[in-house]
Amino acid sequence: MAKQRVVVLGGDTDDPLYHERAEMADLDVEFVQEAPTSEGEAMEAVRGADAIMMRGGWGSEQVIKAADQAQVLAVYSHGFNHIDVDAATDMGIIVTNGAGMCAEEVSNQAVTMTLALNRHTVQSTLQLREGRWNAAEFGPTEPIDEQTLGIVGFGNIGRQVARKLGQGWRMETIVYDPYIEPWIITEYGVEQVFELNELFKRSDYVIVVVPLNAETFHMIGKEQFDVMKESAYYINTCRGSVNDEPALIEALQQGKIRGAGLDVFEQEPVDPNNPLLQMKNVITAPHSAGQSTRSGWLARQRASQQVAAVLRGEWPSAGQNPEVTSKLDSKTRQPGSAGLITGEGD
Amino acid sequence: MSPDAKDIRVLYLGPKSRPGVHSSDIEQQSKAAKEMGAEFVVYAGDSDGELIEALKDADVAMSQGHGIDPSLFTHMGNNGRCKGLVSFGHGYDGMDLSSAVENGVILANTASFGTEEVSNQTMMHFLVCSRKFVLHDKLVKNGTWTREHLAPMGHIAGQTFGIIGLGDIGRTVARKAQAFGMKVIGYDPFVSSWDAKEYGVEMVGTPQEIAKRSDYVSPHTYLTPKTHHMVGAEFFDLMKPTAYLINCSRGPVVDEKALIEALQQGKIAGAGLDVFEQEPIDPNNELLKMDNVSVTNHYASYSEVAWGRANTQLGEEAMRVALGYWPMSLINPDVRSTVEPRNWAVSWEVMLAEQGK
Repeated sequence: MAKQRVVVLGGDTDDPLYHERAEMADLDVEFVQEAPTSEGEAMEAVRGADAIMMRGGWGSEQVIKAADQAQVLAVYSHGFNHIDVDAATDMGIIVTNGAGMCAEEVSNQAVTMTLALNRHTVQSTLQLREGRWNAAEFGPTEPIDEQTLGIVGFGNIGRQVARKLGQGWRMETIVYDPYIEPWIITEYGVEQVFELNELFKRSDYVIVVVPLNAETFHMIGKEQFDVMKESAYYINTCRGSVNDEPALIEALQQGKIRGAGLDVFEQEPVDPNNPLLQMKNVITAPHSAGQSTRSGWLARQRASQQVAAVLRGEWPSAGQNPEVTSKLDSKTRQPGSAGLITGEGD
Repeated sequence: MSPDAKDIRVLYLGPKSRPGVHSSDIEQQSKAAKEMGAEFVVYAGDSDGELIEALKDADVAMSQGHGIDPSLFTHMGNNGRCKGLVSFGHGYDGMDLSSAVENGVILANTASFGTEEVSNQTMMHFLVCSRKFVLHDKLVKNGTWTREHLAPMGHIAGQTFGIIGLGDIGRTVARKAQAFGMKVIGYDPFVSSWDAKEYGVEMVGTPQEIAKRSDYVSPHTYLTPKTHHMVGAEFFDLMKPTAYLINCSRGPVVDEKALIEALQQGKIAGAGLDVFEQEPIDPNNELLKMDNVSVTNHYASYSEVAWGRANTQLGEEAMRVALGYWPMSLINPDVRSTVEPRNWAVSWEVMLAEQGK
């Protein structure tokens, strides 16, 4: 049997691919590294591939439709909003993401922003640099253990935020996620609300951690900011376009909410003239929530485990388009091993 | 296009051993159908022929210990009106999953209803074993007051608790064992490493490693061909002579003959058992004669709250299946490839809103 062809798209073409090779050591595969500069080149690169590992942004319908032989398309990142999932499903291609590769990091960023907003950390630093010394300027500092945390999206990251801020800081935690099983809610000791606006109405801190898709695009806008408390903060560490950014800017300018912590923006890199960057009550980061010395290689390990599982004829543990089964000839696969758990740097 | 709730008929199959269901018995089970405005019908027949007829006129069936012959699947799913079967409880041993997939029959259970209770029963058996309660209870009641049988007795904090199967129950046991200061290790080839990490459990690569390293071993798996006798002679040979086996899952997960032999030969220190290979247990079973074995009669999941929740969940899952949603606790996920696309499962409150109730 011919070797199975794993095409790695984007990035350096002379990458040693240590993790990719290690996870697929038992398979008869060949790695091909391509750095296309156009859709046409990307289409050429994926033709004949058994597996595609995507590091760049080549997830359009026409590129995916050119992948005539692929069983799996693995993205290294958590988000897969740059992939035309419907096209992949049509082609019978299993799409996997890097679930769990940076849940620790992103949840820490959300916690950091919550605490930094609560403690006015950024404002304090700037004030002292200006040679002033005036705590009264920051307004009231609320006791966080008496405040309510609202988490939108209760997946891996949302649950870690609940564990850290809910159980650790003893914040009262409410959760909005219509798809979550009730027993997960019980296990985490949080309260579930069934309307998004109720969460915005009741929370002192709103943290959004959902994937960006058609259902979540601009799911947060004027209506939600209007019902928030004037004393409440809004934190987004997932994707910029889950909120309507002009509506957020307006809410902040009109004092409808007290401040925001933003790791992500609708346009990235953010326009230096974006009014959000001029506001003292807004703290920001350059979409860096997922970063750490671990998440970089863990993303590779995870993506490689997903591809290896599919090529072995198993189900991957982070499949994102379960409806693809209707397009597959071999409907039954064994659930794949989640991969060896080694060296995750506890 | 999902069907209208008022046209839905839910068929309730009660325990075969207890015919003649009163409406007060099924208040919780019928609650969801009532809230949606669907019809709830109690099956009164007692033959497969009658059941086939009843299934023809129902959109979904729910079973409370009724026991369904897999041949009935050929009248359900893609072959008839009744799209699926929801069954009370956790285990689904005895269900033919592949036949259900073939016929497009959606199967669900009442997942997680007794997670608290089963994990508590597990912790109870673990403490009873560790503190040698059965023996001392008997001694004291018989007028003997002695400390000569105490050693060896573990410190618990710092000891190792090994869990096979890290589903809802396994994870809850892990959390509780951690509260006792124990190191928790786990074996489950299907659990992702980030989930294990989130629960603070060290995952190991083989069941053998669980056997070797643990001071207490507790399986929390389903009974399937793969888990049948998963804990057997080879496993007991690897266990420490001071270690205990706890079983609150299903009897046949443990090779009971091998367990009895291991206990008789002192290969392990004792066992805490809620389940047996034969139930009700034979009164002459050797396990009942041992002072280092604690036993209960397969009631680990029981509390009024848990069973009430299972009953309510049974009704909600049935309505999900009938109204074109996936159930929350789908137990044959491969059926996704043999039936038409459906809506994602959503919380009951959200579902009521979506259906305009």
